[in-house]
Amino acid sequence: MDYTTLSIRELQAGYKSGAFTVTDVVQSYLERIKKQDKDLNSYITVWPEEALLQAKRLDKKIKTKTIEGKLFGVPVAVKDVISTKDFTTTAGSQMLKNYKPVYSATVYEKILAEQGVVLGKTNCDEFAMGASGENSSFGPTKNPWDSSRVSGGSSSGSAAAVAARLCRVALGTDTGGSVRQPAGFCGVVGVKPTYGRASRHGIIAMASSFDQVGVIAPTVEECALVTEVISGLDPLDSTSSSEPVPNYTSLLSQPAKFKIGILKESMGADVNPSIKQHIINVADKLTTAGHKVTEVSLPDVQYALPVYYIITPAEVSANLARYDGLRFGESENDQDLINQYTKTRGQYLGEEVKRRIILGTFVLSAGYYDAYYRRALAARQALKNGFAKLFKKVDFIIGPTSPTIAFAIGEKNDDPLAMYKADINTVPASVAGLPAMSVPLALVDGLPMGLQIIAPWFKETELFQIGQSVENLRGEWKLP
Amino acid sequence: MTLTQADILKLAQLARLSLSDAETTKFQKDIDSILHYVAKISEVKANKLRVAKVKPNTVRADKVLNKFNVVSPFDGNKKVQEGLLVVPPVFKK
Repeated sequence: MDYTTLSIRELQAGYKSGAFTVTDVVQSYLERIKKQDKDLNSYITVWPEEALLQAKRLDKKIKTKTIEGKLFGVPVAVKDVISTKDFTTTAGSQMLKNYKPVYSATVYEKILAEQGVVLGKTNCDEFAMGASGENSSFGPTKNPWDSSRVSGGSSSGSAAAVAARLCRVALGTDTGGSVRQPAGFCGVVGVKPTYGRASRHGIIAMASSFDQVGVIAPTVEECALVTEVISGLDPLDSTSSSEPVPNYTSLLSQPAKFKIGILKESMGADVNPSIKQHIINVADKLTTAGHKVTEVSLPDVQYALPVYYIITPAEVSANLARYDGLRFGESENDQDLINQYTKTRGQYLGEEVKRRIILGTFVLSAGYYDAYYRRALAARQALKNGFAKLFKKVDFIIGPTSPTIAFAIGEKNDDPLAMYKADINTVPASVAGLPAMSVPLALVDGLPMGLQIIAPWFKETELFQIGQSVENLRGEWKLP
Repeated sequence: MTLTQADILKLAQLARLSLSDAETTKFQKDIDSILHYVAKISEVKANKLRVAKVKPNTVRADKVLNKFNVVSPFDGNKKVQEGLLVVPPVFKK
């Protein structure tokens, strides 16, 4: 039997009734990975032995009727920027191709504590920098709907693995859209919680004031469950929030009528007309269902992408200074220390990473700091203020997750600016630290498109509620 | 703002990166076009340019957690002597 079509609820009901075991399910997933992932390239490392061992441990608990964990027996994949003690964590980079962390990320430990079964580590753009998955030094992840297309990025492998049923749910990280954009391209749900909602401890840092762990799953309910598991204050991450974590899944069924704003600036001339039409259609359906939908405008979102590409390279240039070849990662030997640094970094860091380090070094340099970095910090604050004002009028802001459907592999490789613009709709929520989600809405030319929903800070409960309403209004959604 | 190839090499040197000639040429073109695009923030109105006070971080109590059972924080393939990394000399004779 193929267990890879079963939801978390169905899996756990099957375990309880004795219809099948965790080992049956894990074997089913591992076989599917073996067959399909050679072409898709969604995993960097698969953990068959560890996953089967964990499955056997859980099967013993079924026998003794001690099924306790919220993720009991759920096959999970983890993006390869999330540290897993003693297991290779590459961040998609040749620099860390043999790196085994000496401690684990808090979010990964929380998945294990709730008895999830981790199947392996998923592919991603190098150090999470990219919007297509093509910047991984382990090769691009293909889109499960059409293998000539990109899967989106940077959590390319996590989104593709969920869509191709090579795991049930996956953890990703979202710095400027890296969970929502690939989720949109691959036709699955992706949520980025509020900045600080989930711990960043053990996440290989890209841009520390933006990075947030997110969840990718086939349904909103499953995203809500995993978000509930990974969220909360962590003494090991001083930016994690002490806001209590609601029981998102139990609050899902409480229907509410919301005020929703379609963001005018996200529906511009660059957006595929069919995508625009689907957004208008869902807005009509939401209105018919009793929600109040209006058009809203926030002109400052035009500065979000410039702000993002000033502040994040600045943070990248500082965070990636640690890859000097001395303490961990690969290294090139030289008798001169400075030469050893430059040769190591030149040899093992990829093109996009180098480009952003140089850009970040420039915007932080004396003479340009005020004109670029300091000004961008202020513009970031202005954008946050703009969102706060807008959220006094509406409960959510909606629009397309991306202006286009998944583009062809190689299409934007020679034009980094065009690639950066692929994140134009997802970056504003990241700049402001807001929670946001992409829900698959429709197919355009045979490829999925997502609806992005942005909520006020820490309003994940309501975000999941409206997300599920959209799912219900859309109707059945089949993975490829 | 226009960057020259010499600027790119200087920035790369500051960032401790060696670049090939092809990379230097490409990055000069790419970064120039990115800087041209991000210069848009100069349009943000001056009255909006105030950085709010940053909320203080939640810092844990300064107690040993015994969380990390680490023999060595370094990769197994690093040269370590008496718990310290062996690196090329910083000062030349």
